[in-house]
Amino acid sequence: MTNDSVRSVEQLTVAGQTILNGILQGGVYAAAAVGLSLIFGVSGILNAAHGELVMLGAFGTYWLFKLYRVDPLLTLPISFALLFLLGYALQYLVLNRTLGSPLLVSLLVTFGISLILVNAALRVWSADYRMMTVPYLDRSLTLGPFIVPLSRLAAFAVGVGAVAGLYWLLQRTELGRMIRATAQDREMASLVGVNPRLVYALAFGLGSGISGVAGSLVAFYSPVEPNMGLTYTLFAFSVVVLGGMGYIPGVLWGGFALGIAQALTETYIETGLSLLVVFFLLYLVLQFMPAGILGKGRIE
Amino acid sequence: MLKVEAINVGYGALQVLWEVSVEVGEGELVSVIGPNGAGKTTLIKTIVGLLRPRANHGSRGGGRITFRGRRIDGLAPEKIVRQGIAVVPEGARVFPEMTVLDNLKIGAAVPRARTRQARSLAEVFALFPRLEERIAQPARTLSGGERQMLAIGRALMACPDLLLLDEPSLGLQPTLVKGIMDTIRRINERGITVFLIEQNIHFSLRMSHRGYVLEHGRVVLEGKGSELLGNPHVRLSYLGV
Repeated sequence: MTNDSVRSVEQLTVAGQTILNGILQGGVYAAAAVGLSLIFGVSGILNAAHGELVMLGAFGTYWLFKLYRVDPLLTLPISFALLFLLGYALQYLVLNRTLGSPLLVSLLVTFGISLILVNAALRVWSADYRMMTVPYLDRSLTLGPFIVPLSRLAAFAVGVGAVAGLYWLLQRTELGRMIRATAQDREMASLVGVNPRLVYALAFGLGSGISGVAGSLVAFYSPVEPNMGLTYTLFAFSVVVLGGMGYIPGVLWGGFALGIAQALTETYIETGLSLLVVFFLLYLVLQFMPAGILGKGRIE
Repeated sequence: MLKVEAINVGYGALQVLWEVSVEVGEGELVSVIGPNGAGKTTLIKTIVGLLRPRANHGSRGGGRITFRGRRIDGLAPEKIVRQGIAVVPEGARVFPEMTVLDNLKIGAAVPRARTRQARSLAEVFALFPRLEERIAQPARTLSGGERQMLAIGRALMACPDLLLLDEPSLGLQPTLVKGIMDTIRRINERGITVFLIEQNIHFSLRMSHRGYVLEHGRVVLEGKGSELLGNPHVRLSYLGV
């Protein structure tokens, strides 16, 4: 082979690996964003504390592993349950009082909640970056020329599975029907016997629980710290806008788009510019495709 | 079964219902007629708890509503309908993005109806075969008449003792109106008490046991359906004869 053709094969491998990394990361972004989409779609609340739920899930897994040696995969259901309870309580005790007020009110209240959660976490756990190493997740699979770290693959699979599971629950179960009915016509839902306040609390609980699981997945392969939430709030907003507001399966495509755009930027431009590229992409979508890249979102 | 006693209802400074009293006995089919803006929809919304009677209105208060002797005014809508009341609201209000089947299933969300869901579904499809043909379609793709059928079917899924209907014939083509009215009569003949608000008095009063005429927020006439249909005021105001 000539030098040139060797170089072009290498270039193709790098490009393929970059896109693969982006897709793997995108699955986790989708899981981290789907709760935001669900909560907005059902109760019209834009949850500014969304990333903090991810942060709490990440710390949950970190401490359970570090202090009690709980297998990281086993921490996922615990993370879900704890965050479900927190989300349920937040909606039932706090956010249900904002029902019927303008969007800005719930945005301010959730912003307040995010400040409380971040500062409580800083106080209790300090601003240190913490990283956990799980021996059996530290290995990698080799697929032809590509390398897939097991931690990333597990996170991707669980993340995509969580989004699919939520979609199944919404479409196929009694609870899902109640949630969809309330999202479409709250008053009419109450006239068929559904308690909207309970449904809002359950939806917030579900969204929060999945965000917690996403946080646990992030902890598999990246450091955990109290301020990490803001990034995930921004990413979640971006993913939801890319996929289409209120369209649940859209978060998968939004997540992949975000993950791939970020990976390409890091490989070919500069690591520090990835946020800039993400927001530029967001700007383009809002400007030219306001219903998301699939055109199935709700524009209001 | 349902007793509305001297309720006063309004929106802010605007009072819509003035000392309105209406009674529906077990097994009856009772109609309310009246011109637009008379307060018919407000009456239904108050019965199901979307609006509340005024708390302070002179010495008599805002009035009271009882269902089987138990007070229901002031309760949340979901608590009222769980006692055995189902409603077909103005404009049907089917859930647009849900399929016909899901719209019907959500109708059986009240605890008393859950275990009977499969049987209720078969009954609704027997009553409206058209709905079974459209079973997997989103409700937003249905015609106006089909939406009314779906709203009535959804209400029946709740296995109600009392069915409230707010102008089910509104906006339907004349050939469909008779069909809907016949269905409502058949539902009543099966033992479900019906409280019907209807502009199309030709159909509604003839099949009703009793009726009320509501004008400017007050009950101005009440009587047997056939009597009201023969009443000179009703004939002049509503039939133009």
